Amino acid sequence: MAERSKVKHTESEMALVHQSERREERFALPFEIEVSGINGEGEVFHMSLKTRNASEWGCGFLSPIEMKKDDIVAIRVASPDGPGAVQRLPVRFQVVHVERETGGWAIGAWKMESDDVWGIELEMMAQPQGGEAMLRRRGVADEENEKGDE
Amino acid sequence: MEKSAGGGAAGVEIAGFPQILFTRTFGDPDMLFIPLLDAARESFNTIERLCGHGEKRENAILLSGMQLASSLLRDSSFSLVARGLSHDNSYTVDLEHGTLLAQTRLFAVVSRRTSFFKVEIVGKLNEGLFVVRNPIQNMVIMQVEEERLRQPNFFSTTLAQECLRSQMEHERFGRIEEGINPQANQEVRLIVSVAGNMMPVILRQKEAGGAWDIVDGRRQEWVGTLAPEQEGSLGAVIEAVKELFEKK
Repeated sequence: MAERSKVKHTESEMALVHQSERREERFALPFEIEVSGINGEGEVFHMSLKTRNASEWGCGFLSPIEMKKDDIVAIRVASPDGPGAVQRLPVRFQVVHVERETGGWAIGAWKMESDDVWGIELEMMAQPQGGEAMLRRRGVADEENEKGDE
Repeated sequence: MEKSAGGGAAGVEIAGFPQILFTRTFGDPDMLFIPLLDAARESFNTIERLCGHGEKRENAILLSGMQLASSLLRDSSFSLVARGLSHDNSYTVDLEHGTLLAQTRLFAVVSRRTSFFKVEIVGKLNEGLFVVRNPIQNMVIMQVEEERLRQPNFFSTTLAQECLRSQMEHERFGRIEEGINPQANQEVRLIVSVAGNMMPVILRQKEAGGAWDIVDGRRQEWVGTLAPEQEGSLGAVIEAVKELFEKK
């Protein structure tokens, strides 16, 4: 195990490891984000939304348009207004959870690359909601957990 | 008797995309090349359309790559894997430059002779013409139109045959090269592409100042004589090479 921990993973490996383990703590932080992609009709969309929760490698938000599992979207945290504000680069996320809700679709998405999306230490901003693995240990069903996360 | 040696597994790389799309069962070029070409072309055309609507090109390329990856992931045989792994078949889509590169292995069995080929098929998404090359010998095997690639089992049958023929021609031409013709004053050997086939040709001058014979390198048959107005250019090439070697 000690040897294994020394292995340096590539960013794509890291993204897959995080997605498969889903052990991250999530924080109920309403980041203003721009979600971009191409819809089923081949039209580009840019939506300004707020996250419901965020973690280092994932986030949840309510989308007014339908998305499908495995869709890939670009997410960028909205830049602060004012002169000198640096526009953050979009980061690709894979949609891993979709659930119809009143007013839209609850989306859970996982980051595909190692770039920092949020630009801050999340634990400095809020108390964690708990990751899926923690809830599993408490005996909570996955499905119930995902609903709670969204 | 020819058949594809490639299994069904493949990795599809979209240039600039952080992960590889992997399929365990759909990766043989006879199955995947054309659907991937169509999907990549659609995404490539999307770039121009988005730019036409005011989207920055860099962003349009990013979005189109995402669209292509999403469309492949809708097929349940595809999943995301980390970069850096080798695959039986590899495909690289470069939406910025509008190219598709496929790397695969084929083999053909003819007259109890088994030949194994690693080939690359590369072309522009919007041109409909692809080059098949042998990456080991760095040799172009043939140029092939997209219509031919769309023929069923083209890769495992026609292409494997063409590869074998090319290899045999190469070997034959190689043997010719081994012996210097004592009757020749000067010889120039070249390979020319004729109707998509690589053809060994010898230009032979039997005596100084004499005419240049054009010889089919495969059959060692005289097929013509170089026109006098073409001899000047050939002479210039030979003189340049002579100079180079004399200096060396």
